[in-house]
Amino acid sequence: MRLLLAEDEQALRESLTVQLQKHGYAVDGAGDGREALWLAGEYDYDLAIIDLGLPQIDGLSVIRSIREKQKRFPILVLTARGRWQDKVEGLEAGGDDYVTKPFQIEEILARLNALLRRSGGFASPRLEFGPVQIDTAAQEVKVNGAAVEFTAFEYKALLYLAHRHGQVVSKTELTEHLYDQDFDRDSNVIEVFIGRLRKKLDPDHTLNPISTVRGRGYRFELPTSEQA
Amino acid sequence: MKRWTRAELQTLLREKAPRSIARRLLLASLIGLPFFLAATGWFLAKSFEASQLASAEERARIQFYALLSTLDFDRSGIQVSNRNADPRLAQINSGLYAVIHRPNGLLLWQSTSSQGLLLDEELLSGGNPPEVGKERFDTLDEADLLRFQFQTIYETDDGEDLPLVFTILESLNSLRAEQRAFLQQLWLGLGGAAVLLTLAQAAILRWGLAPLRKLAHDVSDLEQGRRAALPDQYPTELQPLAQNLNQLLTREQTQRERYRNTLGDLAHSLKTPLAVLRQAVQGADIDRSQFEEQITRMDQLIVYQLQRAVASGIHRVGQQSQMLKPIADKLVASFSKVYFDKNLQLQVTVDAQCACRADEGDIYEVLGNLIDNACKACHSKVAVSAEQSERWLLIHVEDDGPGIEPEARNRILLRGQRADSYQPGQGIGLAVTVDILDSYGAELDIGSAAFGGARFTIRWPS
Repeated sequence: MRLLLAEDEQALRESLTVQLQKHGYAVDGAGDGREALWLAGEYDYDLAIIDLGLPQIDGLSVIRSIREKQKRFPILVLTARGRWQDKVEGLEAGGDDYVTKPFQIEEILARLNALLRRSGGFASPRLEFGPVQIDTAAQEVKVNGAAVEFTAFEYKALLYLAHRHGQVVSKTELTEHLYDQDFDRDSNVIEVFIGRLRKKLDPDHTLNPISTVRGRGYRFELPTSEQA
Repeated sequence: MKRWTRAELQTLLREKAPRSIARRLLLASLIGLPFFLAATGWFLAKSFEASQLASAEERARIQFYALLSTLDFDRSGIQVSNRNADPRLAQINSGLYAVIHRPNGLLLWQSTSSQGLLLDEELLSGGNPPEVGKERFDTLDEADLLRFQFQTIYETDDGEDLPLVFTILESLNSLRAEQRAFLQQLWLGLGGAAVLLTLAQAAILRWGLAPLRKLAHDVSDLEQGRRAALPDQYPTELQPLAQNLNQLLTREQTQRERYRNTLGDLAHSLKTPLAVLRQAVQGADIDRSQFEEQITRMDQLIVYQLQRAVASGIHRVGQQSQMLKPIADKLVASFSKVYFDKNLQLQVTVDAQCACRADEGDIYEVLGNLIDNACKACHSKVAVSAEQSERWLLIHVEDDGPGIEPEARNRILLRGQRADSYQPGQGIGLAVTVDILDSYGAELDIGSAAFGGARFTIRWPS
């Protein structure tokens, strides 16, 4: 999942970036509103965390501009001001949820998960695809009722594909949404990655959860039990 | 000569006018007083002159009648007995003269006093004498004389009708002397009056403006801390000002006390978690969860105190009314985003006319906290409604959650609790809400909602 993080306090931005990367997000950091707006226009993000007190262009204006550009990715508003009037302003401008400072990383992660799920069109935190169950709240994957261990990156890749079940996702798209900008885009890595996912989800080769569409990319094939 | 424009004159007046009200009033009266006194003096002098002439005329008429009564006519001519006559008539150049002559100026008799006088045609008939039976009174400026004339027909013993003109002359000198004396007296009197008036006015102004000086003095006392409030013994014109100043002071004092209390509460309440943290740092093994817990606690304390301090509360002068509906709509739109997963039914039934005299941010805070609590507590339904009566604006926030037990309701609404007794997650939002409502004289009640859960009702004075 590729995430835009706009926060002017460098220490906070860096520690958040490290934490989010640890949980499988590809994070692009922006230190001011202008940079944030440029990044939002340039790349295709799955999520954004935007602090309201940004220099150059304030957070509210950044959010409004992003929405004016018809960008639909969910935005988590970060604010030091806890008054309802401030929160309502952030949400009215186009934010989807808010977190007030100081916060715990768990809270941010939970909100991001909920937003991602929502943007994928799933109402419940538990995604079901036949025998495969993904619990986005607990970040657990079960196949036929048995828990399967995934690394953070594997989990994010699975989630990205599952959110776009039935659609073809190219290797480039997957790379962009899994890794930071400066990642060396070697397509072999993705192939190895998909191989690992297939092995964990379908050790007996009976499900074929992820198919390869030659020359175009991959497709998550399992039908959802929930209507999106 | 320089021509002044209107704007220049106004500027001049503004810049050159004295800064003191007393001096302004005094200056205005000093400019006005001479005109007033001159007019009075002129009017009095004219009246005096008129009355002098009227009485001179009256005196001359009496002389004429006296003369007429002592008149006798015989062959040798006119005889006048001196018995009843004015002694001045017998004294040369006494200033009072009497002459009897024919209409054509032919002299028949003249008083002894007039013997030094040149009785010419002009003096006696002045062109033509008055008609028979008529009198004439005029002033002969060149000769410095007042003249009274009367023409009558005298019937002699022979039965002959003889037209006679009586001319009484009086010197103007004595009149002029009287006038001079009068004018001297008058200007002296008016000048004295002007001085007295000015002094009296200065004294009146001093006395009249004394309350303003006292007010300034009292305010300076306030500033120096020598008094806590303004006394209520000012004249009726100043009393409202003093009252308003006192209200302002009280409000400012309350606000200051609130800030001080908030700051004190905050500082004290932060000490406990800080102490825990210090112990934890000095201890051998550092427990992350303990840190988290204390940081959360400190954060909650700061949030609570900050919101309490920011809440403007207390009716400010000129506080505008805020429409309730747009605020409720915006909050509900926000909550439907935040609580998207709960798939809530959020209802707003607020009349467009409902308004509330309070700071917009405070209304957001109060409603936001109540709706947020309702969203957390509900299963799926939250309703916000309002009704405006003459005295109150009633705002209800209802949910279909488990509701609140009657015994717990009072405890929840208890206000004025010490801030450091709040524990994390103990509903800081509600404590802030109660604080804000309290500062506006508004009340919060907890009851049961029609569809099962809790019903919070705000009673806001209209």
